[in-house]
Amino acid sequence: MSSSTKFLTLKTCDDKKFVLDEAIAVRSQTIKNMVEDDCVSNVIPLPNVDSKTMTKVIEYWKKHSEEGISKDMLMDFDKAFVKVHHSILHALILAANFLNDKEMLDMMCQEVVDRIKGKTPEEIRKEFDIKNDFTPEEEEEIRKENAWAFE
Amino acid sequence: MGLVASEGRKSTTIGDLPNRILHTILEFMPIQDAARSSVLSKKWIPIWSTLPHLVFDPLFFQYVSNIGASAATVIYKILMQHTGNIMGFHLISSTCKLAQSDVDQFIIFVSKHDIQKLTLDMANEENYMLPNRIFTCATLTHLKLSRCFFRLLDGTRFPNLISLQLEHSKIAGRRVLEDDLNLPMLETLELRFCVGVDSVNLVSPKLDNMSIVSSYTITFYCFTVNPIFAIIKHLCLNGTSLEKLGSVRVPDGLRWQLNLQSLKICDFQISVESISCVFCLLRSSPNLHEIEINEVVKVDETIRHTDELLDYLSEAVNEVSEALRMIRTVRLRKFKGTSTEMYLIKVMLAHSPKLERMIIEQYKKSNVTYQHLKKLVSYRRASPNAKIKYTYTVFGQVRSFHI
Repeated sequence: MSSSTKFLTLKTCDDKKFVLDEAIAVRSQTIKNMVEDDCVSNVIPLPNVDSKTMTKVIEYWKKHSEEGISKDMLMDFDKAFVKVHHSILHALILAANFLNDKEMLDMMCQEVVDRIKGKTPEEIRKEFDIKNDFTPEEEEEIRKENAWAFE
Repeated sequence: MGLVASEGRKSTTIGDLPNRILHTILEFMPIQDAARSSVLSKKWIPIWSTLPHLVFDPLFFQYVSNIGASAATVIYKILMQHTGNIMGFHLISSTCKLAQSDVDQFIIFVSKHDIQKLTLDMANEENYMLPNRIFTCATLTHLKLSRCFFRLLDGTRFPNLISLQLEHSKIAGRRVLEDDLNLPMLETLELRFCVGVDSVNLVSPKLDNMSIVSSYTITFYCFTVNPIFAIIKHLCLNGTSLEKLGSVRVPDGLRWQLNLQSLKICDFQISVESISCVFCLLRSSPNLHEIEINEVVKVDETIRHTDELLDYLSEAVNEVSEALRMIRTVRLRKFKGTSTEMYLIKVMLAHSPKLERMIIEQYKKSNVTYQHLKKLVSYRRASPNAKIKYTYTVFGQVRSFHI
């Protein structure tokens, strides 16, 4: 390991480039594997992530790599970070999944769980813009099959 | 218009995430919430019916009892609806009981559906008897059993089991002594309050980690007769099991050298007997370089008892030096600053020539003062490279410094 900071260039699907400290970028297991296998030329393409999402991801990575940051401060940051529209949450989950950052993925999934728990199906559909494609009869049948969960 | 606008763009509904992620989301919530998701839309039906890990936890059993339903009936329903592989099946409740026949059916069912991780931890007076089928289940890698009983048949083996955790469980051999239990892939074995395990010849050539908590029948004799004790690399004992080790007699040395690399002791009830057991283990383990003590508990607070311990430690210098000769890392958790702890630290610093790090973690509610720390610094260190890292918690934040 050299002591000088190494930078990587990440290119998102909309052709925006992000220059990032390698030590931070390797929070992504996907990038880490590429670095370790020496598959990194000048630019790492991220075909599944757009620049808007990548900006958020990098914000998260940088905050979580800050030296001397307290657990409480990180918790406050995380809490605010996940309070986004479900379409952004969706994009961040896909990005965390592609980049293989388990910590971030778990946090995002937990946020989805928190938005689902204790809500009626109708409220959940509204929260996430899920279209109810059942006929009333079909929905009734599904409810019957799992009647124990709807008591 | 809405249709046109969304054309060519990726969908942004949670339901369009890959199934694997949706499964993760459902597995993060209680199973009754996961079951309700099936009614959201058509896409969600198969997500629920192929959920790979089914966790029936205390919240589930509480919920079922609140609505006046039978837990077993609900579990049957869920299994009957299930259309995929069941990789995890976990039954956990400290208050609810399930009938032996139901448990048998569940286990047989999941063992035909590629079960990998199985937990059986239910409240019941009598031990569950494991169905024989489970022994030959080739997909099973993790098994956690509480209050279970299993009888060994000829050539009993868990072909791919990596981790086995037994609590309040009993293994019975067919003959009086020395039945083989073959665990060719086993890496981790945890025994808590178990009996009968010592009379079974565990054949597990890959075993690395072993944890023995309050399992009364395991003595130094087991170390001498059972080869698995000679191959484990990481051993965890609690105070009670440590004392039981030497309940027959603490030998001067064990018949075999042990392969231990680390030793962890929880609830270390410190006494002459227990500490001589630790030294016996250490002296027989030429590769052991890491000790963790998760809390020193004094058995007896009387002065006589303390004197006895201190006398022993100051007289047994040779044993102490031999035991600590390879130690590089010591971790002492829940440090409260008692005189026993202070003396133990003093002895370890003075007799560990290879010590690199001693990590002392202060207990939250302790009365450690500046005087304690001053004393710590003054102790003689046999190793020129020994560093002490002291950590403590202030307002929920962990701080540390080196001395």
